[in-house]
Amino acid sequence: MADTNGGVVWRWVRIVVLSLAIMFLLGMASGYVTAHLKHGGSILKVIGFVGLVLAGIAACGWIIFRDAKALTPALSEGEGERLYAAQRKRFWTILGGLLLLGFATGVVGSVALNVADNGSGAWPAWAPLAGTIGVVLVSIGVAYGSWRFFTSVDEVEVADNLWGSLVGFYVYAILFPAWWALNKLGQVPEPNDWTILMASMFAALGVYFYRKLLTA
Amino acid sequence: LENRLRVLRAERGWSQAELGGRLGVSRQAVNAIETGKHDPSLPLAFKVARLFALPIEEIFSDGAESGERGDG
Repeated sequence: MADTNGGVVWRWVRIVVLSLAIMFLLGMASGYVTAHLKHGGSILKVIGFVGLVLAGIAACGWIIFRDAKALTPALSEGEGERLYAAQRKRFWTILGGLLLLGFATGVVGSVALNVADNGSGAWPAWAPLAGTIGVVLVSIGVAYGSWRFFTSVDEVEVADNLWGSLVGFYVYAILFPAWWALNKLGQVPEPNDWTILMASMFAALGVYFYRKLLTA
Repeated sequence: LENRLRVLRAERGWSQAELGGRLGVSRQAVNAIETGKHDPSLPLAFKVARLFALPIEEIFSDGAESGERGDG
């Protein structure tokens, strides 16, 4: 039976919440593994913990997949629906690849960098070069994936991205100078790069998903 | 912008996904255009017109004509 409008919204909300849960699990896992390895903890414990986290991610992923499938209308054998199915597959492959690249970079990067200095605050000689190569490769991968994404999506997807980016940019353009000025006036501590970046990203994502919900 | 996309699609018995596939856009894009949440670009409007073999103005209108009729 087809979902009601409320059912559709609920599925989208669940997809967003579980996606955030996966990011949280990955962040928690990388933090735990880093701390554990730094302090010479047992590798068996790390394997067990990572196994549990992977099981949690798999469960979230399975529910997301089920919801996404339910949100995709059952296709008949029409020519347009076959084209549509191929188009959707291309969209999710590129988006999934980009997300996977982002997650893998975040987890591997944070664990590798933190374990490499072994708590001493100084990295081994190979770390800067290896890290630089990693950063360049990931940047090229993200740029290429983004180009593939934007050349394969339709104008509504582009418009959703543009509105999200515009609002994100405005949050950045207003927040940073305001924070900077207040700091100069001695009212607040120095501007924090990561806080401003995250605020801009959350604003952009919020607008993007709001527009997605409007046309679900 | 007002449009008759939903009616034209229903006349052919097409789903939103079917129409999206034929136009090279997503089902959500078809939904957004049908419900007036997105005004299609000119290239997409021409594509729609070609697909339904109708002049653009028989599918899309800016509502001015119906407004004038309503006022008169």
